[in-house]
Amino acid sequence: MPTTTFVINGRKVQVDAEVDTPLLWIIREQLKLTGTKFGCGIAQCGSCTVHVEGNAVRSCQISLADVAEKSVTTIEGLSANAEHPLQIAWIAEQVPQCGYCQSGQIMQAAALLKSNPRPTRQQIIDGMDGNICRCGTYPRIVRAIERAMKGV
Amino acid sequence: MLADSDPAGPPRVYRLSRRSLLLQAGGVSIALGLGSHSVEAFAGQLADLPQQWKLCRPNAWVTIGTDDLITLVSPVSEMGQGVMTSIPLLIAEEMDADWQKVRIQQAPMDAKAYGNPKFGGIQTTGGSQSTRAFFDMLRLVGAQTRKVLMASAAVELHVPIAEIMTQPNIVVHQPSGRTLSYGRLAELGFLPNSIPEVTPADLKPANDWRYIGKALPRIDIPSKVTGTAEFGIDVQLPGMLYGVVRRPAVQGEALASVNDTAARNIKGLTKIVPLPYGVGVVADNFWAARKALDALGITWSEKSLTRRYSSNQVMADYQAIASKDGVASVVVARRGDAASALRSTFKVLTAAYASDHVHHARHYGTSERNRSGISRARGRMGTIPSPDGRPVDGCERDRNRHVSC
Repeated sequence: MPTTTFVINGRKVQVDAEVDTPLLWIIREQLKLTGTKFGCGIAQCGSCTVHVEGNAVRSCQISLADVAEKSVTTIEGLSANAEHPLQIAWIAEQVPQCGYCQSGQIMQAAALLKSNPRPTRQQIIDGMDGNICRCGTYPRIVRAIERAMKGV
Repeated sequence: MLADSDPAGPPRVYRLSRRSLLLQAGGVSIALGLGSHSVEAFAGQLADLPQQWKLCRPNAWVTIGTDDLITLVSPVSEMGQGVMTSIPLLIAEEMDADWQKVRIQQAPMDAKAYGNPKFGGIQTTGGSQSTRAFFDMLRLVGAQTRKVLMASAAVELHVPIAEIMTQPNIVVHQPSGRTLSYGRLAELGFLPNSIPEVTPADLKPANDWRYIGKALPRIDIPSKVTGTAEFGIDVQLPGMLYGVVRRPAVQGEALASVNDTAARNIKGLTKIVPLPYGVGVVADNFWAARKALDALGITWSEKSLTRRYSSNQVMADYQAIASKDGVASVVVARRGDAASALRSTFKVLTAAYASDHVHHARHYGTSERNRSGISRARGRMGTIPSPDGRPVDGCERDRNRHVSC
């Protein structure tokens, strides 16, 4: 079994797995970080969103080979003590219902705010368009991003 | 504490006689008792119990820590509807717990203690029944817990119980102003000689509610913004196997044949399992199972009546029936005189409303984990012949592993 090395949440790891395995399953099964969710497996829902080199990607579509020697951040590594402004805003706005999509929502929103710290409402909606919430928490997601953006 | 009338059942029966009370509520039996004294007295009987039952546990629902933290059990599954907060809150309301000092614990599998009275006592969540099922019952549990705490405090303070009242997490002797925290009472572990009875008349009137009806932050939300909330699919057991199933695209079809030549070369494959409704693959990781599934050459039967079903045709048929004059209709609600109002109005607007066929589906895949050892599971799987009559192959090398489907 080949060995692949990459950085996850600031920690260097070596993984023994087939290199065509989607990053999602490496994160969940090998590294036991189950905050990243399997929703559809075909890049249609956004539940598996993580950051690779700071960019939001669907981890079900990125192979282990793709992240060799790269840096990956999951919801577990977004902040040390849940103090990322988005996590604070998510609680303040009581966003999650079932919660299954929310790791992906927050990771997508974090990348959005990093690339555009002052998005308009429409830019938020466009930026979050690929992340589906079956519970329909969209209005609160937008409010939480606006709250985090304003630092309130 | 749990009452179990089955003498042959597991030893989780507390026989607390006068120190317990059987509260009948909604068909579910709850025996209440208080204090570590009773735990010590019945230590022999408690020896086989899980640790969580042993200390500071007045009943199956409430644990009072000597640190004054109160742990309440949530008997229902949190699926975003807020019940992990709203249901234990019913106990907190009536026992006068300080909500800031309350922690929530998900109920273990124990239908006798935590079964849903609206579902015949089975432990299930659904049908918008959680609040309806537990609203009276858990308020009675809370009220009785409060009375037990008050009775305990009355003896401890050598005062009549009539002079005792409660504030959040404390018992107060009004004439002297002396107080005892719930945590301190749990530490003293005193149990009254007779458990006070409660009836609905003991419950707070709605205008005295501190918590019920208020928009309190949901208990489950912090874990859902850090990825630490555990969903069914997140449970991983040592040596677990992963199973996936391919089903036909048309309901009612069956497996005709499977060519598994390519799938057998997938690393990590444990077993290919033909099923009456499809074919399953078991592997030592999800991706191997998925790859093997995709590598199968499957042909399906083509005999299902569902093949003739058309949602467009059904919709057209329904509309034709609905638009026919004289077709009997069902009155759902009647207010005022619509017929004459329509005759006398300036303008009548007509519209037809239709909805699509909608699958009441969740976002994520259905997952189930099965603790059955593979040898037991194999017995079950082995009874299903493969389409070509070959026996389903064994998986001795994975005998000690677990199946997850």
